[in-house]
Amino acid sequence: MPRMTKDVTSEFEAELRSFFVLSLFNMVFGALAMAFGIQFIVTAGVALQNNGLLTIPLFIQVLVGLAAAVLGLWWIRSTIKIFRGVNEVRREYRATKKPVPGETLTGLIVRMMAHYRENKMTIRAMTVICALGGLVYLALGITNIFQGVAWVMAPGSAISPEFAFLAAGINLTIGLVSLFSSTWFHRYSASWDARLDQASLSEEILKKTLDQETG
Amino acid sequence: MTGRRTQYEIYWEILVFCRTPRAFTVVINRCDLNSKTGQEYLEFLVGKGYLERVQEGERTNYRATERAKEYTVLFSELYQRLFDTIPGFKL
Repeated sequence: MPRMTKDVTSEFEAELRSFFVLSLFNMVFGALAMAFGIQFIVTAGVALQNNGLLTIPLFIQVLVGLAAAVLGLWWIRSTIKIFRGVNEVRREYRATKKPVPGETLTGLIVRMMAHYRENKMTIRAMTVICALGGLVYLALGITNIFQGVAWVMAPGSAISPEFAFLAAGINLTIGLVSLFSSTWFHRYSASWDARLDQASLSEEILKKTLDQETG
Repeated sequence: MTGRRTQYEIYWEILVFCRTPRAFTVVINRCDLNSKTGQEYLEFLVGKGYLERVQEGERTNYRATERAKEYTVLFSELYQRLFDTIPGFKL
């Protein structure tokens, strides 16, 4: 029986839980991003119907909304793929009687390794997309704050301050969570990349063992 | 078990699963292998002396030998060490 199975178990459990929460977070915020993007398009559509004129700001609003909706959709799809794999391992782990036997734990580690190898590129893309998305939402939030302040200083503009500050709150929250997510995905990747490197060294040892057995 | 696994991970899975004698089709289904690669893996392990064929009636089953323990124990130690030595991800 390998040493320190208990420590490894708690380490594995904590990591599994953290990644599960991170995936869940991302699904919710991906959905919010998509909903917000659609809302941008709809409000632009309503304004267009009222004014009958497609102005440059309105056109930009439609483009930003479309980008946010597509980003949100991609975000959800990628997260679901990652989430499904992690959730399967998590369910299996939870169904296992405690203390977890060493071999069962090894099996779960192998599954997580396989899951990471399969989703490595998606997770890396999430790191970049979350960072970019985060910056876009922060920019939108800051724009909303300016809109709200502009109304307070000169009442009567198109957007009410309540709506502007609410939108700012939502956008800034999504933006911050996206930036944090990017950092968390980066840290997750760094851990697993180090493990894959270490596993490659372990493979050399396993190969030698298999070769020795033949001789 | 699905996903991208290395050959060493697949050897480990087969050896652990074959602690009790298993038929070829059961092994390849459980380890998510096609019959061609499944045959190659099983033949390799039989050749190394980690698996043996056991005749049960008309059926041939595969069973892990005592020697397989060396590999499975070493594998477990090496893989659990990955969580022991490398700082993990926590929120």
